Amino acid sequence: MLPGWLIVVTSFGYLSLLFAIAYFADRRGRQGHPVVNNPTVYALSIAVYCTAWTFYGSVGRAVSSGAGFLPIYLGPTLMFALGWVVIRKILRISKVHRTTSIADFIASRYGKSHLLGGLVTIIAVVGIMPYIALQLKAVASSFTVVLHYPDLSGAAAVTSLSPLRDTALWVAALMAAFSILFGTRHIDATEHHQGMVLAIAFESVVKLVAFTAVGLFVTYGIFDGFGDLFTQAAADPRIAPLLTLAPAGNDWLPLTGLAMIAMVCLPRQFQVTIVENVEESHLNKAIWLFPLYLLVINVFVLPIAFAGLLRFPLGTVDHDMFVLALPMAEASPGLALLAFVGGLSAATGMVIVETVALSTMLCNDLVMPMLLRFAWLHLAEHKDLSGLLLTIRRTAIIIILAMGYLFFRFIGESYALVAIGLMSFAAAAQFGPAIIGGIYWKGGSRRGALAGISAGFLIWIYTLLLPSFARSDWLPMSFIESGPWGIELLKPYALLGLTGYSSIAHSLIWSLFFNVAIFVGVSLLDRQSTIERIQAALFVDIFRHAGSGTSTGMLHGRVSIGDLRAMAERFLGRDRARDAFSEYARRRGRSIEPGGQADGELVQFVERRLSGAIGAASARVMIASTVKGEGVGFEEIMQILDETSQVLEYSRQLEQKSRELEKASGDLKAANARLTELDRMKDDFLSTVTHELRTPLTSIRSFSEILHDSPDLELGERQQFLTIIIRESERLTRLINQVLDLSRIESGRMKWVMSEVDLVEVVEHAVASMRHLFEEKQVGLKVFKPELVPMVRADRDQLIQLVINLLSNAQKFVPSGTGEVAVEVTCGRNTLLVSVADNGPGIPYHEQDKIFERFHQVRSGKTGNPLGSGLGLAICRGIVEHLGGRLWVESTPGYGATFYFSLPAIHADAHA
Amino acid sequence: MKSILVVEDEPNIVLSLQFLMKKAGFEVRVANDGEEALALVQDRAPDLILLDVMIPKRDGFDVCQTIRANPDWKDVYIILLTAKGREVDREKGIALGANDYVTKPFSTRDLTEKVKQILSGG
Amino acid sequence: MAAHESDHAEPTVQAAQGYLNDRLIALAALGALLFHPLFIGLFEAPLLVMGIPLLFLYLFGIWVLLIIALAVTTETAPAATIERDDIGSGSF
Repeated sequence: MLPGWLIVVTSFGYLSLLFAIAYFADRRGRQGHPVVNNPTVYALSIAVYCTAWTFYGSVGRAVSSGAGFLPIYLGPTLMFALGWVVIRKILRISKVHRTTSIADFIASRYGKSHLLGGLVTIIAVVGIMPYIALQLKAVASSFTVVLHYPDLSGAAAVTSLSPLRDTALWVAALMAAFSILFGTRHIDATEHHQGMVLAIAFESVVKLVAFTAVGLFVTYGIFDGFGDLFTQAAADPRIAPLLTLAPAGNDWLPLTGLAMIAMVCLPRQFQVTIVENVEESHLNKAIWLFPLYLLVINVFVLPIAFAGLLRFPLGTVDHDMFVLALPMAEASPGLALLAFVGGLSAATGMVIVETVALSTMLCNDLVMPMLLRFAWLHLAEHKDLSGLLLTIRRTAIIIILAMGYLFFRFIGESYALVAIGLMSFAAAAQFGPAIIGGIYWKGGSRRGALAGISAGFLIWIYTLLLPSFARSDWLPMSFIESGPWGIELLKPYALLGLTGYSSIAHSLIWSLFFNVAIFVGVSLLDRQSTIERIQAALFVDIFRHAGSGTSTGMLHGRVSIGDLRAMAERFLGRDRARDAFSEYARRRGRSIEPGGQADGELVQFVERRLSGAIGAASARVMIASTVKGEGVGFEEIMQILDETSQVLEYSRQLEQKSRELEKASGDLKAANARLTELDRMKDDFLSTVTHELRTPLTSIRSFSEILHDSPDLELGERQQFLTIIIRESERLTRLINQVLDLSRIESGRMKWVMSEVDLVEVVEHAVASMRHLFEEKQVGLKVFKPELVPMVRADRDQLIQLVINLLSNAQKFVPSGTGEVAVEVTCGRNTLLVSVADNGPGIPYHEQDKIFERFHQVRSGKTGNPLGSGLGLAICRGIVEHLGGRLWVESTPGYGATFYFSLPAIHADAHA
Repeated sequence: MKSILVVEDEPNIVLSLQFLMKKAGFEVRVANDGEEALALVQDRAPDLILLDVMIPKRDGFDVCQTIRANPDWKDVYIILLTAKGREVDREKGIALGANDYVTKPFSTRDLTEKVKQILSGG
Repeated sequence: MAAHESDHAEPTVQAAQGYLNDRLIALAALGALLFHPLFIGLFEAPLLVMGIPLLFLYLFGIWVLLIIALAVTTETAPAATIERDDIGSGSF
């Protein structure tokens, strides 16, 4: 018997040491001197596998089944022999995908399924929480044993102590504090909890030392070595059967398999082996070091078991407590205290890692997805959810430990709790098919995994959990003995008539059978979604091509957000890429750090964005080569990108060309329309010209024929007809000349003889040449001119022709006798202005612009006959405009018309 | 005595047609624009009209259409005269009810023969 | 596409890894066979060797040998996979 205070002080002293170690490791880590970057620490941390259930329970199990406890440790040994194949693959995948827990891993593999992650989390919590209770119970029981030995009657009352005096409560509280302090340091659950890992490794050493010390003491202190012990054991009829394989029964193989699967499926093992792994190469050492640890810690299990059986009368000491009872019985309280601390370390190590693992799963795969689904929380709009994440994880740790404690308090003595050790294994084993199938078989689908895991878990409940309830008297025993409603085939321990196995093996066989069958069956019938296919390929082909850890090889399967963004920028442009990424961040409710790993969803998101830019097929190729690797290095991807960019640039140019072409074709269309218009105008023009030509031609021909056919015409008539022919011929000639002039002016082929011209002289010249026509028609013609006018630069002959045309035009419209035409030259500031005014009928307002158009004829008001070819004014305007001037008309109908034209004065220019 | 209406705004062509038709022995009246032409038809319908298309006020097509709209004048023979040689103009004229279509410059002999034939045969 | 750099740069490493892979799978298979109840049953004789039951000697002996084989296999393999993970994001 040990004094209570000593046990308490030792316990809390030990736990304080754990805190100190963890604090030390974390501080060193922050200072850049990681102490856990060490394969031995890694292997020792994996030994968290050996819990209090191992520390105390292995002996108990050996007592009942001899070597039958060994499969629980041979399984992990075999699994680690396969470590290079299975664990390394899971490790690589998890690093690439930044897996935070086993729930995360499974959810990620099957298309980031929240449903699957939640299911795995719930199963893990249901299966593992009682296991935590079991650890607390072990602590409480061991405390009672060392406190009360040899009066062990009090040991049965561990659950009836007042909570304040209950070691388990204090241990649980301290474990909660430890887990919160060292297990939730970072938001990113993939960042390593160095303090926790080092503390766990330390605990592994402690429990190994403690157990081995007890073993050595028993073997060489109480007995005279192994030979003596085994010889005595072999001679004992109670023990002799334990020296054969018979007590292990048919469970050997199923339990070996169960332990193998548990190595990867137990949340705490996944945590230390996968999530907390610092370097993949550390696995190499763990492959042999961890099995060695298991070997060493198990060497003395049988000796202690046999010694206990030999030493204690049957039924006086709980077999599970032989480890403590033997040193106590042999009056070695110090060793007993060490054994107690060893058991404490085994329990606390398991509790710490398990709560951290479960809290991460609860937070990331159950609570957050649900919270984010509630729109009214507006969580998605928060930029920084790290505080919330940590709060959820810490709350989860407290809840898990509180529930573990309550489990222990209220059902601590029931069969359900005692049996929970292997039952937990069996529950966790349900993840096995989804994990192993998931990393080797691309066909495994989300629905397949959901159905398989659900089926396995239901079988587990039916064949293990419910019967354990029955054996705890919470259900009638008839449920076990004759099956529900007396249906034999449904007996939970002999489902479908399967017998000859322990309940654990029986449950494992059926649950895994249905699990695997349904997983495979549903997957085969199922159609995977795109993201499932992508994730399946990413997981299964993680080692594709690049087996080595070279820098380029590293890239297969992993792409950082920064790189992804760089790629997106190349295709989408900086602004659109930025918008896309911030949109993604907003939707996911996470900030995205450029250095982080892009998860499948981001990749798919980017792929979709890329599809918009470079087409779905190209985007698929780009994403596949970036993320999956296929041995493509980053440089090569960038090269492809550049090439693709060039192609893109080319197509952009093409697009631009085609736009230009479109524009050109638009121009062409316009030009064509214009041409059509011009053609129509030309047609009209020709038609008009033809008309104008044919009219005089008609007269000429008619009278010629008349003259020809009528030799008997009178002389007067003959003379008249000949005059008409001459006039019409002149008209025809004039018309042809005008058409040619106009065409020359309009096409710019007119030969201009430019010189400095005195406009007054030009006007006088024109007036002189027209004078006789005016006199003939009895029309007055007056000229007004200033004394001195500046010169203009013009073609003199054309200018004279212009004035003549205007005079001729005026003369045609004014009435004979009373008609008057006045020509005036005036000087403006920089221009010279010539006006030709008449007192004719004037021009209707609507005609005033049209008269300058070709062939627009103003008909004489009286006869309606056209008075010209209709080309004169068009030619005039052409001449004036060519000389840089303007020609227009002002007229009030009924009060004559005045034509003006202006020309720039070169004199004024010289002064300016 | 058959009556002919010459509708034409070009005085020299009027003069030649007037000379030819009179010489062929027909009564000739002259209109210088479309309105005058219709007024003369209203006054007394001629047997044949030599109708220029390009005339002031109401053009030849208009005059032709108006005449054809009145059943009283359905027997009036209309020959369109035009300086525009386009086929569309010809088709338009025929479609509006003209009986014949002559393009300027025309052969005086052919026109005279044609008119004579129409008025003697009709 | 340009050849993967590591293809020609480190063929020995890849070959060695393949070799290691095969040997470890073979050891796991051998372990599974030797730990199979049918095989273990052969050593079930009620016989003490050096005071130790043959069954236990066999089980722990095979276990020890397997661990030694694993150690030799992995520790003599070329240091192929030196993949440093980011311990704290600062060093990445």
